[in-house]
Amino acid sequence: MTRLLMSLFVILAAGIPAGFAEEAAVEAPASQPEIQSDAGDMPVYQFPVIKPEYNIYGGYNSMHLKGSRQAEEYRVITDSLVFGGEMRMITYPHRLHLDADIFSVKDYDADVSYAYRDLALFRFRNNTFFHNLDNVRLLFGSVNALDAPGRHYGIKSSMNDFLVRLKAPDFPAHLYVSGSYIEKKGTRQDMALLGSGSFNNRIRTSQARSLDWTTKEITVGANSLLGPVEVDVSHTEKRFDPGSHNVLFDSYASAGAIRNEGLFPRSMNPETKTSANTLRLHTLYSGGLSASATITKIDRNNTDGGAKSDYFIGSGQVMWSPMTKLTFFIKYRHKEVDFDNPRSIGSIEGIAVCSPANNAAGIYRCQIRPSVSSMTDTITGIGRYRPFAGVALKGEVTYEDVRRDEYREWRIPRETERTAASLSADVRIARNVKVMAKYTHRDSNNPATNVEPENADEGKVALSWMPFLELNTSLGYDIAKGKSDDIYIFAALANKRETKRQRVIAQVSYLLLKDLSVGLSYAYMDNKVRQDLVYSDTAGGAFADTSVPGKDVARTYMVDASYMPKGKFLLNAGISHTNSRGSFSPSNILGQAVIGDFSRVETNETVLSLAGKYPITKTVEMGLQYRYVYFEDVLDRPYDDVDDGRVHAILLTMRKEW
Amino acid sequence: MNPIKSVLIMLFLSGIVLTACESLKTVKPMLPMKEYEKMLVGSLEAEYVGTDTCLAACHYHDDKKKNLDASTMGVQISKKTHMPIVNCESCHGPGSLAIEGITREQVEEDAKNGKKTKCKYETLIDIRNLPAPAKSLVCLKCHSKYAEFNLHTWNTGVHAVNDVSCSDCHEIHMGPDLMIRKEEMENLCEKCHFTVKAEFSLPSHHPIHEKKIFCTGCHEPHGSEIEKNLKKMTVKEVCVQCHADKEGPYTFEHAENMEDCTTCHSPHGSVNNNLLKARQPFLCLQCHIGHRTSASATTKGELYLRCTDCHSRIHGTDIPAASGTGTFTQ
Repeated sequence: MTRLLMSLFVILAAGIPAGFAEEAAVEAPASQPEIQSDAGDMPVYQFPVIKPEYNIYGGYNSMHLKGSRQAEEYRVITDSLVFGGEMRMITYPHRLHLDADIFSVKDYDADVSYAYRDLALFRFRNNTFFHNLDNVRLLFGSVNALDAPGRHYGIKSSMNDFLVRLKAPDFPAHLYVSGSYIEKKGTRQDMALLGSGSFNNRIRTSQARSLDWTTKEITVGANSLLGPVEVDVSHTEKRFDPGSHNVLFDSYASAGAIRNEGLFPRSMNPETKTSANTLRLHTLYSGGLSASATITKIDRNNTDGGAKSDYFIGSGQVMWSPMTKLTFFIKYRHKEVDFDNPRSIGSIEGIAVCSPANNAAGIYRCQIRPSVSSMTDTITGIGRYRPFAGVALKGEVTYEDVRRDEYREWRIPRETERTAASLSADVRIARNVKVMAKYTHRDSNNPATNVEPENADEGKVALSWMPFLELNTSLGYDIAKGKSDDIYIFAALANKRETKRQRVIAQVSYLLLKDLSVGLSYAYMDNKVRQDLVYSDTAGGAFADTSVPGKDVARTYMVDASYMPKGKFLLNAGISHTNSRGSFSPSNILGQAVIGDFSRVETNETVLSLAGKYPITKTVEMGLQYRYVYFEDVLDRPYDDVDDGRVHAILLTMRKEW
Repeated sequence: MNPIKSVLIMLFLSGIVLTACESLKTVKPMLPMKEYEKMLVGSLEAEYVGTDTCLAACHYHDDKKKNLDASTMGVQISKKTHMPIVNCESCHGPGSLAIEGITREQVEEDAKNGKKTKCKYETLIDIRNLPAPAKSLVCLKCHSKYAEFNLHTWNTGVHAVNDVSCSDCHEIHMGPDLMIRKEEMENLCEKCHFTVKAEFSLPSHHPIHEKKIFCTGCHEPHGSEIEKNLKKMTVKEVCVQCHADKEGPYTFEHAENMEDCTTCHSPHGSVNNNLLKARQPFLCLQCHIGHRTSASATTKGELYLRCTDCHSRIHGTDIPAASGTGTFTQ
């Protein structure tokens, strides 16, 4: 029934403007001059001669690290040669653009695009970078650390995407192929729980894990103008290949209370396949009534584990403007998710993981809960009214209904209903003063997770002011409060939760002199939660710790300056400092206060950057950049997974242009 | 679905259809857009003169003309007239009044005196001061039937609803390719979204400031079918573009939390490792009953330093725990 309704809405949404679409159809731009010429003597447009432009640069990057690589999480911290360049060649009907920057063998990017008139377009982009990863220390209790403390983990991520698009001459019909190829190679820390399976025989393990993952995605599609609507159809295939190290094994020499002796798999990254078919259609964008609709079907398959999931998503949007000052927007979305996970597991990598033979007592069975399938309908209505110039008022209402299957297994509600309403105003008080204010209220009836509040209010205010041409200021404040009086999961034991989140942002930019500008900014961000928590006790029962606070607070300060005397040189300088703190503070009813001590963290990050460019000749330029990062673990304790790190980086380049 | 709800939805949809049909009968042509279209016609007393005539006397805008000619718009030549389909007057309106009285000799004379000859630009369309829908219409009057599906949900997208127009992001005269460069994207978005700029300064963050990934990796600025202008049909699909190892599905799922990664993660930036919204163990204790808190500090440390030391496969797994249950330890 719902699919029928959704399909009907989609068809109506796309078809409504069909009757008048021809009237609202875009006419050829009136700017096209009428060329009067003698019969047989048609003038021919001469495409201007545009000289190709090239530039190349080369240089050296020197980096010095002391301490933790967290100081530069996304950089390769080694000395390296750097080079790159850009080329732009526009010789009608061809257009070619190449842009490449190479900072090291693990940090480079490229962008290539070619177009032949408007008939063929090709684009390829690569972005490769190195992510320095954590190596956390296992503390307390029984530990089987198979990796060396302080070993450096990291992954090189190479992201490539391409597009080839062909167009029919003199008609808006396209055929396209697009795709992406993402490769992740390196080592990361792998953690797991070993031991007999008994709660009193826990052995945490940590080891280096090699990765060689590839994600491939390709989309083939076509679209065209078809009278009053435009239609696009596409098919997508995606594959995730975890490579040859997709599972680890542990050997147990003797039987324990639960686990028998033998070889057992763990930490498996399964191979997955995804297929999707999508249909999109929309009316012209320039009418007083326009609509669009999208239907997509996605199938996912875990080929190693056997689980499958299907998605059916349909959405329709309508914009209607009955008068210039008033516009309505309506959006509807229907989503069906159907999970199908196996009820039993035969074997993983040839090893029977759920067989009673694996259990010393012979009674071991796998308990697989059926995954949650659901159906969600969301409808949003927005009205925008401009009573007079410089003022825009907007009201928005959203209703969402989620219905679930297999909810009892997970002790979550069968149905969740959400409503949200907001009012906002954008007002230009004076030519150079603009204010935005927005208030939103949300209600959630039977949320499935405790982190979703039963009711929440959010307010936002933003002011931008340009008292004179050289000075630009902006100020923003955002506060959101949430409350739950009946946390579902803990039932009678604990039921209260309150949240508060604030953001304060202030920015000033000032043109001190004709060639000198400075900017300052300050940001304050906090997330505070106060919630009843529940722990097990040693007698096998449970007890509540009420109103436990948890909070994250951060402050960022930034100053930057730019000096650019015309035709001479360019100097940029900037400094930023960010202080971040996180904590949670349980009470000490049964000695759990120390848990809060484990999770406290405070860091400071200071970044100083200086950069200059100096033109040696008209076509040759020298550049010098210095960057200093100091990442400080303020508390300096072993529990918080952060350590001090300092990085100095100097980059010297020479650039030539043609 | 509840039959009453089905009936209500049917009635609501019927109401839209009937209202739209009524408006079809009573407002031909479509008034509100026509009002905006009137703003784009330009002076009714002016005539179109062609770009070459506009720039015949002076050459201050030669670079702009060159860039436009070299762009996708410029290379579309009409077979009928052999002229570019799009030129300066397509957007700025007829230019005869603007260049009235300006001669090459006058321009040269002014240049000798250190003066820049101004055309009567006030007779052209005042694009800068148009209302946002009219500014967008300058572009949409052509980019409306060229099967450009990146504008598929533009009209109902967050930007259009909030009066952001094409020219707020696209600088049409910046160069021949008219695409926003990756180095510029962050500053462009953060011009309005400055709260997001601050979030990327937090200790755990996606590498936007480092220019390793870009806002358009997750967001579609031209509009989308879901909230926050995300570029895919679900939150999960956006994240698993790059984090495909978390995609699943798995034999042992983490309830339905994996459908929305933002249940636990803060995608722009966070004080906590791995972009987590709260520190462990508090993050997990918000929904789960904690382990026993015995007198031993060692045991407390073992159980509560990081839940994921043991429950490392928290996004889902195909391998049961030693006890046969799906507790994400294997």
